[in-house]
Amino acid sequence: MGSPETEIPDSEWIRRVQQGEQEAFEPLLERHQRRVFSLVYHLVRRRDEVEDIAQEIFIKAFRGIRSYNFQASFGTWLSRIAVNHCYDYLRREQKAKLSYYWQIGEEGSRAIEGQAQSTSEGALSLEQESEARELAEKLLARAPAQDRTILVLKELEDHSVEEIAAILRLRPNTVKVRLHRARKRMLEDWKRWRQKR
Amino acid sequence: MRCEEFREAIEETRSRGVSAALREHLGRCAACAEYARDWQMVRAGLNLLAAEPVPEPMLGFARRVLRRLEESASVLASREELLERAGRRMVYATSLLVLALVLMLVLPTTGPVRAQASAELFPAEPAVVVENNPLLLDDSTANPPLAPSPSAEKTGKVTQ
Repeated sequence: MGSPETEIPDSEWIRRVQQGEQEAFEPLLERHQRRVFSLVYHLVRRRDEVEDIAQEIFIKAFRGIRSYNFQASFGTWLSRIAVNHCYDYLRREQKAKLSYYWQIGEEGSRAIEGQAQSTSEGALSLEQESEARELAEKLLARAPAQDRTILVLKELEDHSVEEIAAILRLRPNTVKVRLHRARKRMLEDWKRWRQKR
Repeated sequence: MRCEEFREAIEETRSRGVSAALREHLGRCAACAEYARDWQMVRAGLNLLAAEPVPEPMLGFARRVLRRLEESASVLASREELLERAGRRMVYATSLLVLALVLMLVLPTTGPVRAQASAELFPAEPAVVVENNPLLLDDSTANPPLAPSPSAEKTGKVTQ
């Protein structure tokens, strides 16, 4: 059996925070910190920045908790704040650098092609795995912030279309369309790079 | 089905599995077959990224956030206090100014200082020159007696 604190639902803690009890935010923090860390890491991909960004997200959530109206789950509401915060961060980061898919190294390209072949054949070697991971990371890093957000929510965070729609405040059909476009753009850029080689 | 719809289906193959229609289309359409291969490559990389361990919150993360909240609350409180103090001073200053204005209006403009000040602020209106203004001239000035003619001087009569 869990401790009494873990048995109290989120809604109760939220009400207490809304009434000015700051300490009631701690259980909410404990309960949702992993979710926020995972989302931040997948979106930003910088281990050294995750804690700072997560702190800022929770501070924003605390300050805005009076506006939380219990319509979406607290997790979804918090994810929305996290996504918006990371989106702004990515926009700032991307403004600061100019990089394109075709800047990916030749070696990396060979690795991902070899890895794709191995995928159809069976298991990957450790080396192929690390190279493929690195390449996928680069592809994602070069995607526009909006594409990256939706791709991360679907491919890395494994959210359903409906969950993504709730987080991004979009209709499920819009999410499907944006997801397809983001994937397509990613592949087009990848292809463009191969043609330039 | 159009190629675009097949491509959307290709992207979802992980969850659904390749349908017979899609397999048939991939056999006929080289562009869609290439799209499928490329997506397979990218997805394999993304799957590896998803499986990567995520950084765990360090011990005491929640406490650190709460401390930051307390700190920012105290900064906010001191800022509010400062603003309140400044606001209060502003109110006092405005009240004093209003009082001074009221006093200026109410008190009679007597005494050497007030008289001098009011003389500077409201200088006396210049005397209206009535000499040649027919509207302001009284009867005596408007119709001055004509100068007696030399003959009248003699007779003592005044011609009109």
